[in-house]
Amino acid sequence: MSARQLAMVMDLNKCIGCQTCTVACKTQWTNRNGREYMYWNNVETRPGDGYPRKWESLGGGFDASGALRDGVVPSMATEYGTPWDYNLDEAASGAEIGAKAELRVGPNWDEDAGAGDFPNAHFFYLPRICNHCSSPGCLAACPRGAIFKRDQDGVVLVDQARCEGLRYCVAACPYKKIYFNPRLSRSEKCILCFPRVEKGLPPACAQQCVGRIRWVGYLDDEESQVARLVKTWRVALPLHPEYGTQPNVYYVPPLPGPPRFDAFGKPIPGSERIPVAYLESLFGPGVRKALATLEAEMKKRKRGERSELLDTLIAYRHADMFRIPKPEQGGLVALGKRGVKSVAKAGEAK
Amino acid sequence: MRAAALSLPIALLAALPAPAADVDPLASETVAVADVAGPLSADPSAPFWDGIPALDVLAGPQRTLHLADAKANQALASAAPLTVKVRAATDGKHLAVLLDWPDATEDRARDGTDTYGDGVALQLPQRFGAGQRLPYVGMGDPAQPVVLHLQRAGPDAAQPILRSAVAAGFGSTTRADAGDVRSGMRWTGGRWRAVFLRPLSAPGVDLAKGLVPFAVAVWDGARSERGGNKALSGWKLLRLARFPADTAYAAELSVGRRPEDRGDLARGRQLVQSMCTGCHLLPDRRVARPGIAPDLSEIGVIATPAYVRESIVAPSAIVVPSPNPAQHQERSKPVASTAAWPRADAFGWSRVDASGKVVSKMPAYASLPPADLDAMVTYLMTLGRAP
Repeated sequence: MSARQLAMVMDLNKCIGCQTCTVACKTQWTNRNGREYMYWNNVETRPGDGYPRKWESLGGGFDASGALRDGVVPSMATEYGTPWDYNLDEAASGAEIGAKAELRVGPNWDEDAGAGDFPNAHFFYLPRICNHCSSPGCLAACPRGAIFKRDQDGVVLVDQARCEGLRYCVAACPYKKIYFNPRLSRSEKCILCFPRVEKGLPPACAQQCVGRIRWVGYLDDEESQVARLVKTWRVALPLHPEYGTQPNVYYVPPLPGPPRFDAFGKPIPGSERIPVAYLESLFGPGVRKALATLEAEMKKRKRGERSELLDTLIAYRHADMFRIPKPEQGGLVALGKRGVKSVAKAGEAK
Repeated sequence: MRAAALSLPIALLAALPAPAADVDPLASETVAVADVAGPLSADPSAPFWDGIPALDVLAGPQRTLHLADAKANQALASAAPLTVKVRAATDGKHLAVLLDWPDATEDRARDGTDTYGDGVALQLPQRFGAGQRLPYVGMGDPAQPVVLHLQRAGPDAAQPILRSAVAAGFGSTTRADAGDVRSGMRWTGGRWRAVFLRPLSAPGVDLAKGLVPFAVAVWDGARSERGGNKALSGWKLLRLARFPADTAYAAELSVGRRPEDRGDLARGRQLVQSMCTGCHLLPDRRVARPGIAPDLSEIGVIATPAYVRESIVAPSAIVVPSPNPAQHQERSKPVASTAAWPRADAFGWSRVDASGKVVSKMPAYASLPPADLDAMVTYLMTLGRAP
């Protein structure tokens, strides 16, 4: 656990699955040197298999007694998907354009498939990055102590000089958000764009999000919208809290949507298109309360009253969504919280 | 140390009358290093190995540290000790060690996320000789660091991935320059043959001595073995006849292996089962909570009798590092919804005593009757070995 924790909130009601975050991350960090198959940020369709395929069945995290659980290292060929090239040279001389490999699985293989049959089909998007957990499974599994959590912001990093590519971290991360680089024989992961954060900028995925679904701020900074959404309004919930790693990415669950239709095409009053039980299987027991809060605030707004919660979720200004002090603001001194010394130093170093 | 050593040539020792050879308690632990004219090569098929006798060295699966890979642990559950044939040769400037062990499949680290190459390592103490205790066999300890040479089968069959490292306790392995080390490994007919060729004298350790301790480890990629998930041997010895025999050192290393050290096996079994199984796991008695203390299932393969004895009477003489303390959370303490549970320290193997010293959590059984102690060590040294 760190002195302070930088956290992210994602509002799933606003995610349109455009993958701009995915591309922002990939072009910044993972389009080269053995990282081609990695998606530190991915957007998967739910219900669905996710990325890597069926990651929720691959173990890791902590059991109910608090002991680290064994996990499985996903295979590139069958779980992540092997990156491929197109036959562009041949296509230039008239061949039909196509992939140079047999495509079996990929990072977004079941996009928009979802669940249910017409007219009750449903799906929503789930963007995922490293959760920068307060009790990371990857860190607990490393026999070499090569994974650490920064005290000043809780960012979880791999010391590339200590890592020997043993991959116990990959097995033990229940979210499968730490990846093995086969070219460099090291594990690598989302770094929460810490070089940007140290300059007072949000991570690239959050900055580039066209739906403005991502908020970034410190959980102990009561002025941050992240803390308001997570701790005050309690509408933002961790993904699979039962994994026991205390993840620090929080999701505003999708509203269950319009009612289901019966066999005659008539809406079933009070029914849920997205089963709330499914949402609870992802985001834990806080789902119903969070949805009730959202619905109550929406009604308030419809009556013409003000709603701080909805104004926050509308996300008028980046400046309000991202509360990350710039070095010239004295780093974290501006927020008057713990961890001042180390962060001020990090700011000076830049 | 060298000055104190007797200059009795080893060849003469070998020529002594039979009774002397019969009672050499180190005979089963020692590789006679062949003197060859040289030059030595790192080719595991080089003809000069023909006719050089091998020592059979048992290597047992590492079960002391639990690692979090489900597939690897499934394979580990049925793992048994294997025999590594060790041959060695020197030309006076270099040492070549040939390791030869069974492995049904040739596994190479390939361009994927879940493939692992077969590998092998040679461990040498940085300091050894009369008056120096052996390092903890699992990557040394802070007072007695080790030098490691490792090679692993990579994509290129002609070029194994070779590394040298130093370590002072598990988890501490750090790559280091160990001089001009060369290697080669080749798989044929269900066996690997691998050579480490290094200068006798190189940064980290000088092997130009009569008696040189070593240990080996092998990894089977098909069983997802890597890092601490491996088979390792106990400390064995290389006898280099061209250097003075360190008889004082040989006498020290013989302690626990002499006929007079042998205890009552049945009594030892009874004592160990009644005294040790609250914390330690034995092959046929697994009642302790896994992880709170080292698993002793293969201790007879991995440890020396002297180390086992010391662990009982003075467990803090070598304090083995604890497993990663983040592996266990203390769930009995309430925490805020956004905070982590504290780490459970019940799973640490050491604690800090009142004087600030790190000591083993195991109590010292310093006042055991000598016969009981001999019996316990005798029994523990059978664990992991075929009866």
